[in-house]
Amino acid sequence: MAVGERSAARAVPNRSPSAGLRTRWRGVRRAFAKNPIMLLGFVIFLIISLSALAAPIITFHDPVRTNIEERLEPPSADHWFGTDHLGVDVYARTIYGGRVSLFVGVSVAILVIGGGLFFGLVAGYNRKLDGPIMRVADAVMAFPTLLLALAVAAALGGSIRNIILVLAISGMPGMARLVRGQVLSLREQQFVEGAKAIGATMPRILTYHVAPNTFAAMMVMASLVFAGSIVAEAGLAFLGVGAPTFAPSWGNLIVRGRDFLGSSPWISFFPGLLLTLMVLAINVIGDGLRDALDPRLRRRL
Amino acid sequence: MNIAKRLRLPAAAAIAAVMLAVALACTTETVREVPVDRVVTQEVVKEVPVERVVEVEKEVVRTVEIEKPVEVIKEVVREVEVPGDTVVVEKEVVVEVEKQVVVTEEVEVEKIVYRDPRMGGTIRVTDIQKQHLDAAAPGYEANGWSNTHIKESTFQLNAQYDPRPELVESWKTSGDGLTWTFTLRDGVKFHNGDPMTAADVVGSIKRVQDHDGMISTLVKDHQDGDFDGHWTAVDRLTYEMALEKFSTFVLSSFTQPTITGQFIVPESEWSRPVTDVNNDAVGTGPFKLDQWIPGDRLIVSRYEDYQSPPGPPSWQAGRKVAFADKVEFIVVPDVAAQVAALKAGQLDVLSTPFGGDTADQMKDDPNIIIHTVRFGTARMSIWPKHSGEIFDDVRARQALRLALPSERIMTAAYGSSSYWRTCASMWTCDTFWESDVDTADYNAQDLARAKALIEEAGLVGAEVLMPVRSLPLVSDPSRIVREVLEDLGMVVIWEDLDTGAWVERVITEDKWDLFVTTTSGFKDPFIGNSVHFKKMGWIHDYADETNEMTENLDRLFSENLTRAEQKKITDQIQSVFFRDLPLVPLGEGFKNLAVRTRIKGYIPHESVPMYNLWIEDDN
Amino acid sequence: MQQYIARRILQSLPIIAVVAVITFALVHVAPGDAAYMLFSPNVSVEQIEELRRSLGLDRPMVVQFVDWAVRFIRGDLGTGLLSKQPVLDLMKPRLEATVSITFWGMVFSIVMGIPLGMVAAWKAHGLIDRAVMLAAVFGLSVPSFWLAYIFVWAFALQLPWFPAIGYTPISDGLWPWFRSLAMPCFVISLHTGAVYARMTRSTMIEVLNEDYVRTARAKGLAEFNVFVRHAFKNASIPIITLLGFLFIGLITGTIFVEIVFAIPGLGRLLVDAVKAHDIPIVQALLMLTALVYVYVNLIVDIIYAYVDPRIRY
Repeated sequence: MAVGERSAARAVPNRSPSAGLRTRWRGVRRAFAKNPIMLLGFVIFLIISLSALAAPIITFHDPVRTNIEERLEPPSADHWFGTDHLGVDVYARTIYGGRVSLFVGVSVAILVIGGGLFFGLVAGYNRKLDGPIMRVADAVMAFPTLLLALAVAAALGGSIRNIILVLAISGMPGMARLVRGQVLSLREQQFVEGAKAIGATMPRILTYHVAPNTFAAMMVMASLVFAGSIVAEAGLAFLGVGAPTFAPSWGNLIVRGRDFLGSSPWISFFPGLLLTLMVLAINVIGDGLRDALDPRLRRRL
Repeated sequence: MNIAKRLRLPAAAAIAAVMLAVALACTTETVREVPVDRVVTQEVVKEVPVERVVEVEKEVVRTVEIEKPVEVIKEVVREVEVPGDTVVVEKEVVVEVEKQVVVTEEVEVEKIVYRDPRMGGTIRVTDIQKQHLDAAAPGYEANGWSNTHIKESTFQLNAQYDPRPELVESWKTSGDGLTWTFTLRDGVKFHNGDPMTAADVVGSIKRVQDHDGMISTLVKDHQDGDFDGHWTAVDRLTYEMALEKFSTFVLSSFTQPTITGQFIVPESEWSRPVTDVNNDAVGTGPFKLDQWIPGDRLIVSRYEDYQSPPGPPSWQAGRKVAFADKVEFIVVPDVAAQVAALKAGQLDVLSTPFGGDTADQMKDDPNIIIHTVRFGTARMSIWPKHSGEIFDDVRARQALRLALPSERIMTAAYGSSSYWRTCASMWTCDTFWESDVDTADYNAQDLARAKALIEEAGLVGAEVLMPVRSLPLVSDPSRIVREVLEDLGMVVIWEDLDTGAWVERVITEDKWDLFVTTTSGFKDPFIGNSVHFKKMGWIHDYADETNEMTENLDRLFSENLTRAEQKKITDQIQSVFFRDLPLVPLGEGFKNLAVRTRIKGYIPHESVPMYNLWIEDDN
Repeated sequence: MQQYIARRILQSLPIIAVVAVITFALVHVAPGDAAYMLFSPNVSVEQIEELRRSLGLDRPMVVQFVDWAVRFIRGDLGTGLLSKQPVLDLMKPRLEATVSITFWGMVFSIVMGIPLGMVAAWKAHGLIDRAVMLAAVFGLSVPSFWLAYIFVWAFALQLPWFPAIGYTPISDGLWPWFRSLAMPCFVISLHTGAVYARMTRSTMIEVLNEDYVRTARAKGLAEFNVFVRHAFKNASIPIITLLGFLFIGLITGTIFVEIVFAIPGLGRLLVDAVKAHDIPIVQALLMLTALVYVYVNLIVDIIYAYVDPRIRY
């Protein structure tokens, strides 16, 4: 997944004090206006996300309940994406599968941002804790993401909660490193010195001065983590440690559908297509954000 | 510019070079297979001329050699007559001889046509992953099939599931059936050069008898205390077995239907305890071990000094000829990859299980023949925990039987209806033992009655722990079972587990209420019996309250009865079985085999050995 | 510099130790152990317990770990629990396959990624640039195993150009060796190649705006010369730093292709070992990856310091 990206985030350029979140959002809006591909990505992202959220309204069949009599039917008016080997509507499964993937992606991104921010700030500000935290982060990064995920999932069992946990753990070191780098460079900056001088406490400085300054990098990282988690979920399903077998997730659909590639390709084609589109959209948005928020990051992420 | 100059040290190329060097270093280390001595191969071609093999076929059609051992028994009977003073003994003996003759009469001779056998080549066949090569250590089922090419047993099953001598040449039994004397074929050598002796047989059998279901039932369960003394090597080629009780399944207990745990191995293996897993894989079989790369492949090559058992080839019994120079048993973890490789000609045979949907994808390929074998049925069943808190109530088990839709479950597991059958009988359908006693409730799909039973038992809303192995063959049908249980008003707690975790949950922790699994079914009460009957409760040894089951089984195994009398008993067993439901049968799935057309001599059975097969000349 | 290298090597030791402890704990926490893999209806619970005892799996986790660690420090990687094969012997025949996949994966990603990234930078913000970047994002987005199946279907079955499964060792000839690796390596190099292309593009764009490039252009040098000789050489420094991380990315990628293409490599050995709870194998392999990670990064940093004198450690 984001092996190359996350690790390249070791060194982060010095940043000048900024006016805060509002200007950044203005930058985001301008970026959308200027970049049509990013806009397209955003539209795709929105369509897939909204349809996943509205799944009960826009699908007409149960995504789990089997109906053997209608197994392996090709796409038709009733079953837009055909049916799978147990007669479940692939369209319903795919749309509901978006929910699982979105949930996994969003949760992992939030956990990675939260955990990365916490450990990064602590490591950046506390020299005693810096060493141990970074050693553990190094060790976690020394496991290829998927291997760590495989080992943890084998240990804790396959469930959506565990997948999220696993991917969050393996994503956190990258984020923590990034935040720590930011903190280390920012703590010497004048505006932080100034804040100290007027008697601001450390937590306050961290919250109001340092955290917002890492915003751009974090948003971009988050989009990479988001996209990476969705692909990783499919990878874990392939290795047999994904979501419960009956649960509709894109990974499960693609993996189970591969046995039918020669005879009923629709089972894995549609979820595969949707997954690719979704990840593509998120990556495109991430690229756009990166360009808009901080052109200097372009080289790092 | 300075930077650019320094860059001429091509950093990327350096790393690439290191990697290439490592790759090269590795290749020099991996010893490629030394080509087999060509002269020897040609000699073998001369040794097994085509004509001789064709002769075999003629033999097969005309005569049944199998009667020979029975004649031996007759002679013995007469010897016994001399000291015996009562007529009764004689009558008993005669009955036995007649019975045995009846069995041989049922034999339908497999017609084997060797049109153009060819020596040479390598057969590539898929195999399941094995953890070790020991034929006696726990888990030997995984390597049993490939082991049948390397090792041999005293007896082996033929296509009709009758035991035929393999390493044994002749045997005789005392009139009371308690003392058995076996004589081995002379001149058989292990792959390590040592001659195979009676001591090896006794040692090998003693090594497995502790955990081999049939031998332990035969020897151990029929008496108390030390049973090692019941095997004695009389001389180099003769050994004796002493039983305490008459048994109806003596010879078949030295064989097993699909796998053979009772391989005869040299002292270096049998002198070690079973828990000291031995991976030498030395035997007397037609192929010898070349190389084992765990998790990847097992390569065997022809054993030039092989001494084949006589008689027409029939499944695992009879003459064995290693036509192929080598057989590679390859682990291909992914079924889709297996199909692709077979289609591309990189594999010759798929021996690992695959479902009907996969078979359907290969049906149209002109280079592939799909065999769907009805002998090799696997029984799909629900195993409710009869000692648990929910399914200890027989009404709950009856409700399962009434509610579960066999066709839907079997389709989920095996694909379209040509790959499975429903079977109402407890005994495998299409066998002599199949019976329609008390089968009315099977596949009734009577949700109303089932629900009433669940309500009566007070189990509405009960939480059912369902550990599911992450195998499509199990997890897909489990999904339907889950839906039915929910329709019955129960709450299913589904847990996906890999094999190791599943075993821990079910066996060690005993935290489960029900699961779906496949077993080999009850083809014949005299093959693999104790395994099936004792493990009916899976981990909790099963016994019905009235003890009727145990009594009937005792009679079946230790009384000398006619087939008709035995059938009456098996019908009774079925009646008790369906009353008590230690497990709930759902249906029978067929075994699929796929083979490239260039492989000749292939006779489908529940498993197909790679000897007696050859590769056609072209391609 | 030497001091720096020595310090880095020393720093890697705690990482390795942490990796060992995490791995051991994870494999141990996982339900089931190696002996349970052998269960079947024919086996009694007592036999499984006996086997666990004989394998030493019934001892407390700490004892097992210390036992393993002491042997590891002595240089003994142990043997596979059930196959009884020394871990080193298990790894040796598989190393070649995995190194070959990684090698060709690396070559493919460089060959695809760098020129594409350069072309995109050359025509920055133009149509070609957008197309290349979209293709690169696609490479990042598609699950590799899914793509692998489509490739097998297309280039092994419909067009029989490449073998569908298996690995041919280099000793059987260079061409068969390459043929057996072409598809799997291409599949895994899509992801890393995409990372390269993106990286090259953004670095190049940055460098092209530097003063010395402008000077070179002003001198009237041919555009190609400016592009390759002046701009790319400088842009290649950050690209080199990425090598290490991409290398690790490829190791993950090999797991999928080793399964789909039935290639006996280290990735499959590891997945099998994790599933079978074969601790010595899991430990050895994860330590190996950790070591590779640490030292590849070290080498990259050294190269970095060497090519860029501004960097001091």
